[in-house]
Amino acid sequence: MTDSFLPNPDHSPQQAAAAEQACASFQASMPAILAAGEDLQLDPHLRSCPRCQALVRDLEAIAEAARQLMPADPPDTLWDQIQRAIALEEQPTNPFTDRDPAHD
Amino acid sequence: MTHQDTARPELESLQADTLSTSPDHQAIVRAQLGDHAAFAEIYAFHKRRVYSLCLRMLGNPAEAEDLTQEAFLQLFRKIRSFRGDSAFSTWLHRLTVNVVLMNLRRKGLNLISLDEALDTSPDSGPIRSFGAPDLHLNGAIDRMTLEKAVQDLPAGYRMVFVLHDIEGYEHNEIAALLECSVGNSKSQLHKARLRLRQALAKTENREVTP
Ligand SMILES: [Zn+2]
Repeated sequence: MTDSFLPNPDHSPQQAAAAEQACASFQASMPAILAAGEDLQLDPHLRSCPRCQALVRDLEAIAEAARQLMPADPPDTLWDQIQRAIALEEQPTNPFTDRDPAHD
Repeated sequence: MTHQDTARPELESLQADTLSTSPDHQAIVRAQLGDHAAFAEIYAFHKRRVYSLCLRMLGNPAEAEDLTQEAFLQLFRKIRSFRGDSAFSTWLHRLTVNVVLMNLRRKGLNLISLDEALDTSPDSGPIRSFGAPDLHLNGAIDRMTLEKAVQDLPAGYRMVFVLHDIEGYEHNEIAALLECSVGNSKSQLHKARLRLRQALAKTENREVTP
């Protein structure tokens, strides 16, 4: 790894500002690059910029961490609510027009 | 399908396709025949996955409970139409996603246009470069912090992130579900991850300097 991580103390303020600008412009173009279905890794700026590489690594780490998230349990009371809703659903909608089950 | 003369073609195909893959296939068959205890078994087996999906898509526990209930109610109504062409869990997962999306659409939430509005909002600040060194995530990402950050995402970002990165949907599937382009889904996902990175880095910094 080169030690060209920004800000580089050997850089003049102008160089640092230009490098910062190059990163900002690449990062602003990332959504469009991805939307076009292009491979981000082929971008010349990304290939030469450790700072933007670190950004991409962070985003990949977030995606990886998302895959590890565990499901959460609903409250125990929810099943009772669902059962009540099902019971309502199974009730005849109009007791006056439906057959009386006693006469079956 | 040609065996219309058999009594329950749906059960036959179900058994043929899912007998060895679904751990609750017997319960599904019984529930299709109207067995309430079997439906309770199916609920017990799938409740975490359905509830978590609702919770993450909605970012709100009360709404997640309501829509978990709605999803299982729909399952109760539709379970007889399950043919076993796909795994039951995949089928139920789709049903749940559709319940949530239908609910959000009923509320008039346009999921994809949301992020356009957000990008120009003044409170998001003039972020010229996201790659500032102080933003780098150091080490492992804490699960609880990530869960919280996902909950706090704007709805449009959250939907794509949850479906793609947590639930493993492909961009073309998300595009179909959210009625947007594949490119839109990809850029939306990128922006969602950037937002999460900002949120996670903020939390990290707060922990370093309390
Ligand atoms: Zn850069």
